[in-house]
Amino acid sequence: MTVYYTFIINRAGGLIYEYDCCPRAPDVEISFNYPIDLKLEMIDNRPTVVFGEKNGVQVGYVVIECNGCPLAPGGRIDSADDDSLAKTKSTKLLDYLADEANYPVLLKFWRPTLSTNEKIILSSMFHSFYAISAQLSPVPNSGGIQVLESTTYRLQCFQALTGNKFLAVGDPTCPPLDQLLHKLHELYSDYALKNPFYSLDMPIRCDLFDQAVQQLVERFEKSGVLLV
Amino acid sequence: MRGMTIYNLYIFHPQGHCIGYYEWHRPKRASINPAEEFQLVHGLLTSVRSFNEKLSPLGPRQCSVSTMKNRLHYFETATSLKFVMNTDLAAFGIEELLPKIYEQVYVPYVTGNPLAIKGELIQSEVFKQKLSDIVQSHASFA
Repeated sequence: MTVYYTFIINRAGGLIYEYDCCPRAPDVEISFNYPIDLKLEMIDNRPTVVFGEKNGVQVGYVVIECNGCPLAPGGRIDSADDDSLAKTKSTKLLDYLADEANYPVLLKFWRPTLSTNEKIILSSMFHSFYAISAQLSPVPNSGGIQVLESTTYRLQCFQALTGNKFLAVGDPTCPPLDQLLHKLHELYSDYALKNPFYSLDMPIRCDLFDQAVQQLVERFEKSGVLLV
Repeated sequence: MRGMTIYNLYIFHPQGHCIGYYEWHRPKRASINPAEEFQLVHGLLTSVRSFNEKLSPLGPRQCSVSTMKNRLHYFETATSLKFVMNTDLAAFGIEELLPKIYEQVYVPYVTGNPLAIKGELIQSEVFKQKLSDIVQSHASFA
């Protein structure tokens, strides 16, 4: 019974609050001999696995370290040249891995988590899904998306009459998240709307609200049922 | 309002156009023409899939999207053929029905049909008949 994320989306589809308690997958470190048996490509400026699986590393994992040294942004390896300590040579990881002389090589892989920008993009996407699914429904007055289920998670959405959407993403085995969402709406009313410094539809930056949401999610994860 | 039922089925080619649309009950029709509706459904599916991939890298082949009154079931084969079925909320066993439609109806009567042109609208009357049989004999169809 785990809640991975909770989001609040305003009427225009903008993300105004997000709470992330997604468990982090452990990093995986593997030693490779030539030729490397995972296919890597630069995606979003990061060396990403696009084919192959090994020791838990799957498609979508990103290389973050090479021989114990963190990669520089853009997937480059910084190494001091032998001639001078001040001089730094920069090599692309993919070029480095193409050279047989560099093997064996130790790589550390990381399963990417959602960045803030990605969460904003996902919220806007969901806003569109909500409207489109209402339009495409074969039954009248069905409203937008309430539940989005897959084998790895379940997303539930509650849209208040004011148009704000409250989303929770949890484990597929999680009990229904309706109570959590309604409680979240209640907390939003108490801590955000009653805050005289809060501008409507802007991101919520309120310590009391953060604490209340954290306690709410913890209570929900413990018992699965929320009483007053 | 009736109880459990299956509303309609879309079949999409890997390249994204609709090669089959079948309807059993549809109280509400979209305000756009069918060709635009198919594009909209496919766009929704593509976005939902990339949404899934972001939330969880281990992308599933099957997922479902529910509203207050209906549920959209989505099944994608390894060759990226997409089956989309709208049902009532109470319908059950659709997760097994879609693969069954693919294995028992689509593969023998479309893939196995030398006259069927790949990537084009399915013209086979036998396919349509067999599809209706398998859907109407399902427990969730009423």
